[in-house]
Amino acid sequence: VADHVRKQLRSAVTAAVTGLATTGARVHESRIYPINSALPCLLVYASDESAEGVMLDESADQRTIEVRIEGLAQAAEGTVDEILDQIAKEVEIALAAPVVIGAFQTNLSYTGATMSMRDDLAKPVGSVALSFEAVLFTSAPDVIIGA
Amino acid sequence: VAFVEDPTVFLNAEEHGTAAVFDGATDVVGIFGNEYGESAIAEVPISGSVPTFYTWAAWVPSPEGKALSVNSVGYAIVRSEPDGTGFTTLILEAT
Repeated sequence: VADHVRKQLRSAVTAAVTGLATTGARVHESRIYPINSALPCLLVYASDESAEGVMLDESADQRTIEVRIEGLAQAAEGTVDEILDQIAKEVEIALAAPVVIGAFQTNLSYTGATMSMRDDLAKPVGSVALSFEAVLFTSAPDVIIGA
Repeated sequence: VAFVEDPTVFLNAEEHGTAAVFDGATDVVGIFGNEYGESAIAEVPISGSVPTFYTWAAWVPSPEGKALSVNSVGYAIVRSEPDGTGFTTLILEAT
């Protein structure tokens, strides 16, 4: 039995952003526990989804799924934002290419980013949250029929 | 209320205090803390330590940006948080 399409998309995106120069293999899918010293890293979430029926095929849905990727870094003041910008650049380049989900390829649309920094640990920490959208056509929650 | 007692009675490296070097040259004593902390900056928090040094404010004048060495580990003083009695908590950043 295939996974829900959100899970399929999330895993495909995780694979696409694993091994980037700055974050390497430190990529966490749907992580909920605190991150310790393994920084910089990426967190991958498939958060929001909207769906509507397809006009010519009542059994099909067009799903728009938001994928959010958070890059986290910890470094001296003045360099955190530079690392976050580098992370954003690498992720955006990686996801500019189509993402492979089973027999399909889907393009992710970049919809924006939010950056924040704090100083409440021994070294400043920062995050950049990148948002993307993917559109998938499904005949069931786990069956993709088009992208 | 200002503290009028001798602060060295309360900050003693041979008892419950920790010796440190302020600004590369001045020996000071304080209470060093480095407890667990979290920064709620992302979907999940980043965990780490929160180094602080509680000391007599007059021993560490204009501390922001200066160095503090504690147990041979170097820190930069990010800010000072006076408690109004003459003592202050120095917020440290690992260097």
